[in-house]
Amino acid sequence: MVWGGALMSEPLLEQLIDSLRCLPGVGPKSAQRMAYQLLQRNREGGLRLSDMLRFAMERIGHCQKCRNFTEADICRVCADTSREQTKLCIVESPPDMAALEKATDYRGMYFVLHGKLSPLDGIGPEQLGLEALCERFDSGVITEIILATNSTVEGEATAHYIGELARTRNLSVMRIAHGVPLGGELEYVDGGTLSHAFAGRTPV
Amino acid sequence: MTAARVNLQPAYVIHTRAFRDTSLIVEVFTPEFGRMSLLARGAKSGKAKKSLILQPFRMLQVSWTGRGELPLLSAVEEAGSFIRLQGMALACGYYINELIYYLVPRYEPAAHLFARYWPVLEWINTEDQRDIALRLFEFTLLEQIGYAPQLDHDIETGLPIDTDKTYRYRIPEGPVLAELAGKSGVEIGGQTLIDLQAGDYANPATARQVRDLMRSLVHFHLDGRELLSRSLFSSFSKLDPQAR
Repeated sequence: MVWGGALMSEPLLEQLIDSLRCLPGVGPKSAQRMAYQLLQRNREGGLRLSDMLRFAMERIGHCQKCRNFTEADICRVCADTSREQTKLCIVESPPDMAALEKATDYRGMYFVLHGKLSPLDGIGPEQLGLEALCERFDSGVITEIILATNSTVEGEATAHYIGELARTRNLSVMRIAHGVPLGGELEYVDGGTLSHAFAGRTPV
Repeated sequence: MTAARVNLQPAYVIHTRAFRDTSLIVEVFTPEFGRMSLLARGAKSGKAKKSLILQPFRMLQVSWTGRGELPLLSAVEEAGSFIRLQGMALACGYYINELIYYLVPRYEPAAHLFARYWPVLEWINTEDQRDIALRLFEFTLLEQIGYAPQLDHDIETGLPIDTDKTYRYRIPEGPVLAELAGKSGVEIGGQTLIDLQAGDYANPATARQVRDLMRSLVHFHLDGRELLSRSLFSSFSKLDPQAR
């Protein structure tokens, strides 16, 4: 369905608007605005966008080691030999990895799951496809696992599952801490977080 | 259908899924409205992030406005404690949530089952005879949705159950004397049927037969759908045999 109905019957324009709707949060109205903007004011930008989209969609794949997005076989992080090869941090998605890289001084390796265990979404251990991860566990290079999945129920389930996989291989397994956010006031922190924070108290 | 405005209804989150950039569609289980979906607008953004407490296995109170398929969540508060399920207990918790998600009808009062939800979570978290907790919950759930298993008489002859005889439970109707039933149904002893009526699961033979019976009944009502928490359960038990 295209906004504007009978007035707009140019097939190519309609297809453009329809294609723009594959972007998140773009409905018929915004798609129409984007299409007109590109056609009226910024054809050059539109061409650049289309080239870039084509290049990116064709060339960007998954890193063979960490499964993050990369245009090479092995991504930059994995190819960097100065990083600690023995540590492996496991995250749910590429943005999580980017956030950790930006905020922490962690200099080990990563593995991106691209998902989490969630039975009600139809994702069980088999659907998550952990063979590549098990291969890395078995490679003998890694000695320490850091589980940096989200602190949701699904994230915890995933962490537990991978933790058990690693433990059966005698690897040291760590989970990132949960607690009161920096600058947070106890009164306004929810009960669950507070009880986690209290249980995980550390010596001063 | 629901009222236009409901305040502080006790609720448990069964499942959430992302909607648009910062919103969530939350599937909740409530005593007065059974299972229902709520739209939590902007739950993942803002100062008071509702998504932080819109998590399964937490006792909540929710308020919403609007009728129709997707009322708008207007407020959510913690209403009590919080259970942190891990490993096997978590797989059991997922199983319970999956049962509710697929079997409890929308907008039908389910106070009886609701009252059993938190106790069963507390029970499975203690590691002591989790299977009994699950059986009791399955039983209550079938009762709540109007499919309580028929346990007190033979459905062919109408005679009361004899403790010394063996029966076969014809899914979903009820027990039939084994010699009259042929190969159909699930084998179950008369004593087990009596124990089940009384809610007594102490006998190990009872526990096993009841598990087979409940599994078949639940499977029947799921209409062929496979529960993924079962595979989660079996992979957890493979990884950690002591956890059972």
